[in-house]
Amino acid sequence: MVKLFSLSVFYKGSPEARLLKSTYDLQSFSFFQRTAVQEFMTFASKTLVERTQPAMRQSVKQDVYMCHVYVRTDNLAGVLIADHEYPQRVAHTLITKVLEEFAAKIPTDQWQTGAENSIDFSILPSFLAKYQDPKEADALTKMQNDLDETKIILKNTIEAVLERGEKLDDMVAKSENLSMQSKAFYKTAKKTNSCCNFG
Amino acid sequence: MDSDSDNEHTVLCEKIINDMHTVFLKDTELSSFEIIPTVLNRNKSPVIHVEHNLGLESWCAKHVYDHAHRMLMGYKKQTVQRYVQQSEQLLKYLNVALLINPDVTAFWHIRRQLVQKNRLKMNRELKFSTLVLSKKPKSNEAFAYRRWLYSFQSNDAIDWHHEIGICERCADRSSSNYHAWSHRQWVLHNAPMLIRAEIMRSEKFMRKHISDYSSYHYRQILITFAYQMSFYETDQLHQLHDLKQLINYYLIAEVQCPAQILNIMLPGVDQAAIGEARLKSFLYCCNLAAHDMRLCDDQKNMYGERESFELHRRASLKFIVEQCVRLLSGDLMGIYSPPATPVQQQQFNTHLRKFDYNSYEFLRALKKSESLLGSKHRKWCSLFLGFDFESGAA
Repeated sequence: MVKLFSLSVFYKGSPEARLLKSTYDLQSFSFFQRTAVQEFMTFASKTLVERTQPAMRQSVKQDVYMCHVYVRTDNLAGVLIADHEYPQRVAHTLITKVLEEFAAKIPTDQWQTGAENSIDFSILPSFLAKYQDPKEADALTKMQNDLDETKIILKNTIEAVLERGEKLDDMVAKSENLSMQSKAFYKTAKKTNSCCNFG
Repeated sequence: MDSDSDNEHTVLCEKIINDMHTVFLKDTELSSFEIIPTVLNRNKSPVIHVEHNLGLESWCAKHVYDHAHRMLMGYKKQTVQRYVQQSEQLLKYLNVALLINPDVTAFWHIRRQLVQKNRLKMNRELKFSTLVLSKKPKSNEAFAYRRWLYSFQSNDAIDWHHEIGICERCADRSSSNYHAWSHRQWVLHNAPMLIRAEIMRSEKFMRKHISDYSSYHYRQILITFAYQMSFYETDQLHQLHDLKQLINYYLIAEVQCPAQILNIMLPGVDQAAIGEARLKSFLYCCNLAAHDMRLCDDQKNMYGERESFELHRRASLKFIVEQCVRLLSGDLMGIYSPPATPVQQQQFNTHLRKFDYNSYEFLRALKKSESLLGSKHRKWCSLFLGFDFESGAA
């Protein structure tokens, strides 16, 4: 499926990344899953930004999803979570473009202190909607051929991005940003990992 | 002690089932059901109802299902005449049991019996099966039940667009959904007036679900069906952009009008004998197939190699070659439409193998051009289109 699920902008502080703005398209998930899915996407995005060096691009595969991350040298970062079939080149071009727009519109002093509700960047959802069809966006991406695809680092799981000694299960269990409900979803998904179990 | 806790257990299950039944009675617009993963019983009602969505917490699903199953089996021991009398009670358990586990044919069968005895309303039943599909988009039982319900209605009274919408949602939620696409074929065959809309919808779906070959296969069925029904759109016949491009690609010849295309693709054919509608449909459907061949190439450039692009390109090519051969040897075969039975198909395949492609300029050029696409493709062409590359001009 060629689909985008979430797009978010962060500021990579140390040690924590600060979420500045995010948007989601979760219609394809069932109703009661959406909250948990959204929390997880935010959690994964934040984790990835914290483990990506400035001036680095990564595309991390997790199940059928692909998380594309780019951290600029000025520590402004963007994460796009898409289906793994979404073209990687278009994904990274979208992030570059969004970060450029963001940097032009939001003054730098807000990056370190701002929060989602205080930052006025309401065009983010329209980016996500427009890029759902990569062909539509392709005219734009062709102009930006300066993006060197070979410089994108590919990782097969989120685990592969974590630092030595870190475990995803522990991080999920410890996270304060995930609700009980989301943690239960995570456990069940890990256990069954299929749709044909009704227990 | 044991019987006490057993009793308590039964009361709890009954309460949950009653809670769910209340929701069913109260909300006739329920749009989805799912089981919500929860680790523990938090001493709250496990039945959650938000904005026409119904959820049941996972910790109790097993127990509730066991209980409903046991109760239903109890009813089934009585005679049909007796248990349909208690339809209200039955329905309560049936709803819960089928939502949790839609694969039990026996339970669907009880519903059918209740419908036949006029104990259940058609509309509610259609809604219920949609609800089951929201939980399990691949439920063949639910699709079959819908077809069964529609067998009591006249074709004109059925909202076919709504039915296509259900198929599309289920196919979107779960890839390679054989049951949803089969159901959609059934809808298409019952409602040929949908052809035009389906041509647009199926392309949109293929563009989004690039590896889901089920949708490509449906598209092939759709184009063949359109041809069978002699379908065409008059305003499209002036353009035939994709077909012109395809001819241009094979022959390096500039073509302008439909008459020219017909002369190139079907030289020496008695057009009056074939009939205007058939020829127009031929042009229209070949144009669609040419469009799809191009779509597959474009998609390959965008997303890289996919088996679905390759296979669909071949299927579209096969469509064009087959229809040309069929019309070119019309006097021999006596049939212009695609074969209906396996025997006819076999006869036609034998005929394809003997067909002399080299006597026709367009097919000869097509054959030559396709032979350049690698040895695997050449092998496929010789097996399925009967191209003999050894003795040919290639």
